[in-house]
Amino acid sequence: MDGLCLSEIGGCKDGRIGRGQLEDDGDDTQFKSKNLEAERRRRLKLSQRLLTLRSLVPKITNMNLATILDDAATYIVELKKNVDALSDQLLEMEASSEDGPKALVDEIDAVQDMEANGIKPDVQVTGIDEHKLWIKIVIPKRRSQFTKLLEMLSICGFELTDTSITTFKGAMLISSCMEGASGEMLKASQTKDLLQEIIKGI
Amino acid sequence: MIIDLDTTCFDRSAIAVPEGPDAVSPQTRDHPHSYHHHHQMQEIVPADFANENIYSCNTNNNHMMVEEAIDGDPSNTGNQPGLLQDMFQQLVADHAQNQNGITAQNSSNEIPPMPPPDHLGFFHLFHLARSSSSPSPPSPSSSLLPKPPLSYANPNVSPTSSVLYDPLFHLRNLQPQPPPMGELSFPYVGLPNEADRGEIVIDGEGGTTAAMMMMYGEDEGVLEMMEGGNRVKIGKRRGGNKLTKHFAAERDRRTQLNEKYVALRNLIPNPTKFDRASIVGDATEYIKELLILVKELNLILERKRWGRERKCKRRRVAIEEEEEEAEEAVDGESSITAVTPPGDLADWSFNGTLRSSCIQRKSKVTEVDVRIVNDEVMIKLVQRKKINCLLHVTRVLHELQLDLHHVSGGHIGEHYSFLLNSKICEGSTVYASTIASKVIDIVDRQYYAATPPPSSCSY
Repeated sequence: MDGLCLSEIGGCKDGRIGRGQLEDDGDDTQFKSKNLEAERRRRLKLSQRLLTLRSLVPKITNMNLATILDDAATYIVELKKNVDALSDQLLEMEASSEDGPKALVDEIDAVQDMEANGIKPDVQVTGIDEHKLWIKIVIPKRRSQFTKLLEMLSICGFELTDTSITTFKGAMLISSCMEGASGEMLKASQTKDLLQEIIKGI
Repeated sequence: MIIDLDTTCFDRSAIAVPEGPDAVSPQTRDHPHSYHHHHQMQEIVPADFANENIYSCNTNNNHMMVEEAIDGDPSNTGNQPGLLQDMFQQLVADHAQNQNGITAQNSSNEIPPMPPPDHLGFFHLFHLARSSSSPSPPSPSSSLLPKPPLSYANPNVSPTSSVLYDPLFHLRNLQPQPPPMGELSFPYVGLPNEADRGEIVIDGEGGTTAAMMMMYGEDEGVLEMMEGGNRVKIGKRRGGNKLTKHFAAERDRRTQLNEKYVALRNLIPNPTKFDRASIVGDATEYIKELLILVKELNLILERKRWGRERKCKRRRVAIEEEEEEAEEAVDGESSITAVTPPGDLADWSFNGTLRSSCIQRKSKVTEVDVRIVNDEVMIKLVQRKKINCLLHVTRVLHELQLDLHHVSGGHIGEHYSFLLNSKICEGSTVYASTIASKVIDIVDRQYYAATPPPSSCSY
């Protein structure tokens, strides 16, 4: 509908092209009414949006269009100021507070957890297709493990397509379809070795 | 006043009134023979002259002249100039009389005193008179017949535009030279209420008729057009003061409205389209996001403070215990450890209020939906299949110190769709909007930076 109507910049309506340019006079009325419809819908859309805008703004002075816009603008400015003030406060607090070395603790715990629960690291690779492999990896969950793994994989030219990753008791299970990024043929055994190397390296 | 009905000789230079008796002599002008003028003249006559109770022969003369003018055809220049000049002179003379008693003396011999100068009538006269200017260039003193209302009300308007926007331009078989506006050696220059040039008394005093007002209104319409209404077409002559006032007001209203739209748009961070509806829509969404941000910030701050308080309390308690212990000279370790409440982390997050926020961002190729509940972040990502977006998203999450717990998703139709669940590391503050923006930003960038065969993308 809006394809033929030039967008208004600043509300100037001069560039509006009606839809009746394709047909001759016989269809004029039909197209004219389409344009009318389009225009009506456009106006409706605008007024609905204005109403929603007004409903958001707490301070309403008058109920006419100009004040809606004005009030909305002032409200936005106010909110922005609030956000800035609050985030400044937050920064101050962060600066003065201590950030505990909890991350490391977690990581160390993860390995222990895994072992405690009898989960063993594992790598399995099976070929589904010429180009697809299915892999299953169990590794201890550490902060950046997965990221690093993905990075290494992408460097080697692999891409995980359908993936499911879960974490349980310090172990992370990656079960995924893997494809060669450039559609090359993959062999299961080779890939498995490669993966094991990668995991060791992480 | 010496008006010779039969002759067309008038002393042109005498038009500048304050200069003395000569001033009152009219100039020869071509009579403006538009119907328009006829109307006005017709109506001006009774109005103007009706107020003047003093006119005797002059009035009669004028009437006659007017009638002739009305009846006469455009080509008749004989008597008509006289009429205009007549009225002109009378008003002028009258004013002169009022202002400079002496000068008026002479003229008053010829022209009986008139009621207080009727500005409107004067304007009207000028209007008419101007149109009747003869081919020969008027002398400077007589060039005080430019478009008076324009200059009266807005002396700053350039002379050239006066011609352009003169609604009656085409009607006056005009010689090409419009009297320059700036040179308003207007007899009324010395008027007391001259200061009020911007305010034209529209509902004029003293017998302005509808016709005059109409005339006046036109002039004002012209004026308004010149003042910068670029939407009004040239030659708009609806007539009537009220209507032109209305147009002006309407136009002002429109410009102000547009300014406000622009102002609103400038506040919004990423305006894509620039039409009214989308500006308003974007503004609404932005306000919602800001509200969420504020809520989040407040919550985070609260929690931090709360957490701090607890820590302080614990420490204080521990210290007290220590002191007590020390006093009692008992081994302090066990007592301190006993005081530390277990699992305070869990308590900390349930401060009473749940932090929940939901932000969505969309772009041409990507959709991101971020939901935060307490310290769990759920990110949903849908992107057209081209690159390995999973890699990039995980990188982003790593940067933001989010701990990936769970990921699932894959290749669906033409898109990649992933759902990532992560936890916010303790101590870090992230807002939903930050996450959303960053994710969609990076993912989009990578998407567009990728070459068609989706090989590895450098980050």
